[in-house]
Amino acid sequence: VRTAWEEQPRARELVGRAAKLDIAPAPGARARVWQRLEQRRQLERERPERRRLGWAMFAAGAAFAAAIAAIFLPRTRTNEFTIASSSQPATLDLGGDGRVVAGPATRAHLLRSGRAVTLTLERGSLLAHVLPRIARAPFVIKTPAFSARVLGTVLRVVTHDDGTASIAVGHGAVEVTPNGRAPVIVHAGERWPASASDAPSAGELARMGRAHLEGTDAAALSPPAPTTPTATAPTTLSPRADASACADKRGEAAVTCWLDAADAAVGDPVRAESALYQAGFIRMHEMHDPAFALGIWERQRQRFPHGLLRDEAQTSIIDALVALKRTRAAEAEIADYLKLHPRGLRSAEMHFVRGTLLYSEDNSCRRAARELDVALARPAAPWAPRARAARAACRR
Amino acid sequence: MPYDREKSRSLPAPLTLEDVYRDHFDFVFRQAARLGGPAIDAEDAAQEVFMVVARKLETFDSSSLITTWLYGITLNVVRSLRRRARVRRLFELGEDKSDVAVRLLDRAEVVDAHRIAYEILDKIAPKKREVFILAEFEGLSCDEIAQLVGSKTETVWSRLHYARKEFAERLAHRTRKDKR
Repeated sequence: VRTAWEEQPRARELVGRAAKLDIAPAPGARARVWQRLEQRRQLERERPERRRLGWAMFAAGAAFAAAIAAIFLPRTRTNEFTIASSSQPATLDLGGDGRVVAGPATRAHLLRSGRAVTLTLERGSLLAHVLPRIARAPFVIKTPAFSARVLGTVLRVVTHDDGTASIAVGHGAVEVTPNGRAPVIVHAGERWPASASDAPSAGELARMGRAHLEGTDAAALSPPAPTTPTATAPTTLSPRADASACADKRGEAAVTCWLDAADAAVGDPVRAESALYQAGFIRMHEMHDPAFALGIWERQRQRFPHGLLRDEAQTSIIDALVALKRTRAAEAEIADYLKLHPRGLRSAEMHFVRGTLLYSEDNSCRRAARELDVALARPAAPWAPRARAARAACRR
Repeated sequence: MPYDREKSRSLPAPLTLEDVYRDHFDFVFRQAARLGGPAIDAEDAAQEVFMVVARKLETFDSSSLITTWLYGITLNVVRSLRRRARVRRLFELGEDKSDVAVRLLDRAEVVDAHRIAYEILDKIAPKKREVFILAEFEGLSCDEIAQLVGSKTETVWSRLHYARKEFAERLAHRTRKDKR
């Protein structure tokens, strides 16, 4: 006698295939979970039994009150809490804002006001992955020495007992405003002050997780190895001071200057890669010449296949291919990017681009709608209104 | 992979958290990943399970199977984490997601089937969903499932029947929608 389930070959086949997924802990998971478990148990042991119950009731009450408040209060509410880690690093998920690993003996305050987030680091170190943000929802990190405005990046910031502080950027760019001075932009692979020697520990990098490092590794966040005795030079205000000559130029002159700078920076791959990227950026966005820009970025990718800016180069190449209406090539690049970075900083945007490409070439909307739905998991992104409009057009 | 019932039966009752963790971490992780699906982080779930084990190990009755006891805790923890994930979604606080699929990109058709199956399962009522996962993914019999979830075998049969029916209907509906 055949049961109803036996007469559902498609469902049984799907379940059979899904059941083949061999679920096993990731390498190191056993030790990682045990370490976190031990930390929590230690915390529990330090708390007396009666107080533990009291705190549980208090936490339950607070959670209930917070849930009620979240429903009835306007979305621009402000809340604040303190991050205090013991002798071990601690990981904090900031929800849609990103993830922070607080180093040992760190104390920081997190203030949310509407969509804006301010993280004030009193002491210790933070390794942060901040997801891309819109301009009116800034993520600001404050230290006694400077404040940094983050638009979406992987960075590390350290405050010392003597009030000095440093920042290292592993991905993207950060606008740093030293106390009483003009702002400077710190790009991927750069540090401020330039003489800073703070580096993240292996444990902190492991806690941040591979997916959250966005292609950044320890080398990007660690100070460069000293090659000359001048490595201990005094603090440099602008980490890109030597590039100021090109920054002052415009148009064709600027592109030529950056390309020359890339050729000249033989012993400094970070600077050479950055110069090539800059040349392509000007050609694309200031001179509106995607074909030339594409050539520069492809040259950059060929010369620095594992460079710090490889992801930026790839996404810029996608932008250029879209502008040139080379749809197939753009889709192939997007597929490649999403395969490497399924949850990358720009993965949602790539889904959006792919959705719009599919929408323009496939009027049925079926695949386009799926891509746009994935993209709209980030509803506050600058391109989200266009994604919503395309999605609505698909529904019609 | 179904858990080894004979092995778990023959194990002496572990007395310390270290023993339970050493012998059963993989089991707990797998059950958490299976029951929670991609919506929860299996490592976080395993950590929560062993926190409960640490608190309640003294109350464990060594005449019963340790895996049954662990399974019960895992089930409750996963239910709680799934509820929490729903609340997080409700308040747009972001999600903790499992990275199981990410590690298995080389087996696209399996990962894809897994994703589709869990998208459908997430729409099925929790009790039916659990029974379905244990029967179809873990290969347990209705008697074994009844023992794990603390229900009658007939109840498990009934839940499994309706879960399978709903799964097949939702899959058919999804296929029709995709074709349009």
